[in-house]
Amino acid sequence: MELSSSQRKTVEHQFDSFCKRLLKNETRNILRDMKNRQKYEVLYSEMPLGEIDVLMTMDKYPTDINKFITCGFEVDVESDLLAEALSKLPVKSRNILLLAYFLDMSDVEIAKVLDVARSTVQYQRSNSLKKLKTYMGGKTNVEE
Amino acid sequence: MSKNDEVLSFPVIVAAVNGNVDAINAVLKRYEGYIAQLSTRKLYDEDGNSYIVVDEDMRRRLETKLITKILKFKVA
Repeated sequence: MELSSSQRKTVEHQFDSFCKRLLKNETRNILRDMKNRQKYEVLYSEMPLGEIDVLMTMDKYPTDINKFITCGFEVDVESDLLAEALSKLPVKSRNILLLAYFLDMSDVEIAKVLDVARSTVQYQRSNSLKKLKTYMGGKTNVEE
Repeated sequence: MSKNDEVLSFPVIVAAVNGNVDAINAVLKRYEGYIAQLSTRKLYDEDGNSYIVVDEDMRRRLETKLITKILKFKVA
């Protein structure tokens, strides 16, 4: 690759303008990136309280969770209030509630597992719910 | 500054394009001032005072870009 001195001079200037142009373009990219990011960035110290709560998490410990065992399934109940009420219920009622609302089983499925008629399950389920309501005395976690 | 205004010599350019570390450093040195000028920004503190400073992050980004792009320059 033999270039004449004037050609070399051309390459020198081409390189110079190449570097300057790429730096200028990259500067524009960086500034644009910063501007785009600024739309979403919020200073932690300036965040509204409501939004900070969204970022907060509470640690969960196995000891905080109340475990129930029903028909060979293990069910975790997080709410203490609910767990207390559930433990006061008769075993039969509790089992049906756990199967229906914690394991998301339909009445038909529960009937099969417990070997009773579907209508029995339905009756006991609504009955158990009523009992649970009276045990909890209308209290909810929100009011606690 | 007058010396720094000259364009880089042909052998240096060829060496830099081929990945020679010393030559690349020479290129960086040559455009150091321009990069600093481009990455100079006006920043404000919490009291609203403005400062004119070189944005280090931006300076590094420009330097990196220059290094990676030098290698792609085609010597005629």
